[in-house]
Amino acid sequence: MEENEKTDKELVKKILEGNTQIFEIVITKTQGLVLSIIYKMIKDEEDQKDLAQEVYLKAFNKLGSFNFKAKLSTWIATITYNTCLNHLSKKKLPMLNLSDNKEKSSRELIENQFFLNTEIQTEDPLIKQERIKIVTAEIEKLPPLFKTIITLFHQQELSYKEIAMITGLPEGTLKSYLYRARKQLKNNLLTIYKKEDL
Amino acid sequence: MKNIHVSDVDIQRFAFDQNGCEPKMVEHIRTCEKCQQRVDTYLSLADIIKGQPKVTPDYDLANLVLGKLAPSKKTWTIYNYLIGFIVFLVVGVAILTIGLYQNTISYLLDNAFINQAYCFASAIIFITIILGIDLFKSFNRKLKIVNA
Ligand SMILES: [Zn+2]
Repeated sequence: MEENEKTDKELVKKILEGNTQIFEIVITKTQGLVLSIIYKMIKDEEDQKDLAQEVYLKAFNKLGSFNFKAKLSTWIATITYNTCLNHLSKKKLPMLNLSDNKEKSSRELIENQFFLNTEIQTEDPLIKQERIKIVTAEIEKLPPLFKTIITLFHQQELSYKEIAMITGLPEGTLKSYLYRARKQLKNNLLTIYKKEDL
Repeated sequence: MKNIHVSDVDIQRFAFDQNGCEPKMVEHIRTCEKCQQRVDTYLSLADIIKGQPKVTPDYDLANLVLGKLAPSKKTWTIYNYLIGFIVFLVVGVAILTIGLYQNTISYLLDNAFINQAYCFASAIIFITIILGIDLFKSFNRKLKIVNA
C-alpha cells in the first residue's frame, strides 16, 4: 500500500511538472479497472470507447486536485463510475431495476447440482470454461449497478471500502446490493440449469 | 434449532464477510450439512465470477488518450526555442543598456522617482512575460483537447 502510494505520488508529481508522457503509465496501470467498470455499465461499444477516453482526459485535467487520500486507481475508478452514471442518466437508462425475480423455494433443491456436482477446483478445465461462459452471460443480464459491484468485488478484488468510495454508496447499502446481486445471479443460473436439464 | 436453517443473507455473510457473523449462526452453519452446501454454492459462484475473461479492447487506449493530451515533441521544441530567444533578447538588451548608458543610469539612480518607476516597470514586464508564456502553454493544451 505504502509502496503504491509512493509510486502514485511520484507519477502525479512528474505529470504535474509537465511530463505528459508519464500519464501512459497511469493508463496502463489502471485501464483494467476502468474498462471493467465501463464495460459492465455501458453496452454500446462506441460509447465504451468514447467514455474510456473521456475518463482519462478528465483525470488528467483534475490531477492537480488529487489529494492522495485514496489510491490513484480508486480515484480514477470514481471518475469512471460517475462518468458512466452521467452517461446513463443522459440516455435515461436505469442503473438498477428493483423488480427482481422472486426466488422459488424449489430452486434450492437443485441449486447444488449446477455448482457442486463436480468439485470446482479439480474439474475438467473445459467444463469450468463453459461455466464461466454461462455465468459471464448471466452477469450481463443483471442491472448495471449489480454487474459493476459484483465484478469489482469478486473479479477486481476491491474491498467494501474501495467500492463504497467509487460508487458513493454507504457500506451497508453496498453489502445489501451485493447480496441481492449474487442471489439474483444464482437464481437466474439455476433457472437455466433446470431448463437444460429437462 | 438445527432444523431452522439460516437466511440466504447470513449464508452470504458467512461466505464473504465472516467478521459480520453472529457466533450462533457460525455454529449452525459449521454443524449443518445443508447450510454448508449453500455456503459452498456461493463460494463456487464467486470462483466462477473471478474467472470471467478480462476486458481486452481492440484499440490502444493509452495512445488515443495521449494523442489528445500532449502536443507533439516537435511543437514543444519550437515553443522552447521561442521562449529561449525572448529571454536571451531581454537579458541581452538589459546588459547592453547598462553597458552603453552607464553614466546616464548612474544619473538616473540619483533620481529616486525614476529609479522606482524603472524598477516597477521592469517587474511588470517580467511578470507579464512569465504569465504570457504560461497562458500560451495552457491555452494550447486546452485547444488540443477541445479539437480532438
Ligand atoms: Zn442449516
